[in-house]
Amino acid sequence: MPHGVSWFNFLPGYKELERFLNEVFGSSFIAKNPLVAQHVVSALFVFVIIIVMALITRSFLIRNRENLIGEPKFSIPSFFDALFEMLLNQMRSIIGHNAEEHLPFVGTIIIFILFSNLLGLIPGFLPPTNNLNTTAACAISVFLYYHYIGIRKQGLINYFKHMANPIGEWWGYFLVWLMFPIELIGHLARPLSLSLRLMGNMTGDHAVLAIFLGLTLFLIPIPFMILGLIVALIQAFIFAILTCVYIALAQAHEE
Amino acid sequence: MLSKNLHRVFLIVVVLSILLFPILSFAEEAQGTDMAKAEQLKFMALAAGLAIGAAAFGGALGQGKAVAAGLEGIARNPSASGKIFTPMLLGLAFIESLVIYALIIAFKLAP
Repeated sequence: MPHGVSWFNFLPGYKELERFLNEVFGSSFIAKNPLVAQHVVSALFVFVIIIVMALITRSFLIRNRENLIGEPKFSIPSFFDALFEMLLNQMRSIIGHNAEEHLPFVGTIIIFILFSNLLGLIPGFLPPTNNLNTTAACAISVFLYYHYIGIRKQGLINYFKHMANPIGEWWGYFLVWLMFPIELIGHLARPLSLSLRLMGNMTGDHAVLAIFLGLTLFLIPIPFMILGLIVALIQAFIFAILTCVYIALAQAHEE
Repeated sequence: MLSKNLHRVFLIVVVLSILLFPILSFAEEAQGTDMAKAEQLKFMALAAGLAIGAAAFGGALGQGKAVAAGLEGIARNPSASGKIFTPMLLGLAFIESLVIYALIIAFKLAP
């Protein structure tokens, strides 16, 4: 398949959708690409899959309300159980005692990114995280969320005071002219690095896989597909861990 | 804790600032004459190759050191291999992300 074409191009009404989106939105501000519909339709497909799995898990949980230990078989609810237990342990070791209230947000992020990355491994599909728009959307929501958490936990004035003066003593205020721009640049670099890391990894290994599939179809692409699988899992995990670290840093000064 | 009204005002400000992002899309690019563009393309291709080469070199060195430290830790204490493996993987992904930034710049220069 040529670059930018996936199985979603064969949906009925895809051309009209693409023309409509191009007229209404144009090329996006973040990454000027004319293929507006591709990542939107892929992301919607991933959302449909996630919602179906969530409904299955919900009906399972309602039926087995007294089941404390969990099912030993591999099924969709037990997969989510294991995944969120691992994620919650990591969050507890990073954030501390109140990790549960951040679990909905970080869990949504990791599930969306995991399934979007895994969609790219199926031949013919493009992952929605291939595109800077989707990853920038995730990164900007993380940015707004941890600032919101910091302001809610520490109060508006206190939060900026801690950003300007991390030391906390009265003589720390002499260095505000230095610390505040550095902190600001650091804060701005965080969503940039999150989005670019995820987008670069997905585009990069898709491109490498395309090159090697053009070379030979027989046995050589197998290590690159394994690499693609590993990279998909690791990048979702890294995004979630970095989100937890930023949340922990934003609420760090409350004790 | 913020009062409820301040909470609402904050949320409205955030939503409005997100919806006003497309205003920033009025940006232009620079063009040149045909001959100048051909010369420019040659240099941009060279720059892309050098960028990814230098990045891969530095990234491989860094990842080599990280994996060497991780393997030595596992060799000293094989029962802690799970605890060493996860931070080692995390560190490798961070180093790799720097190489990926250079790859993105190289793609932008010469797709």
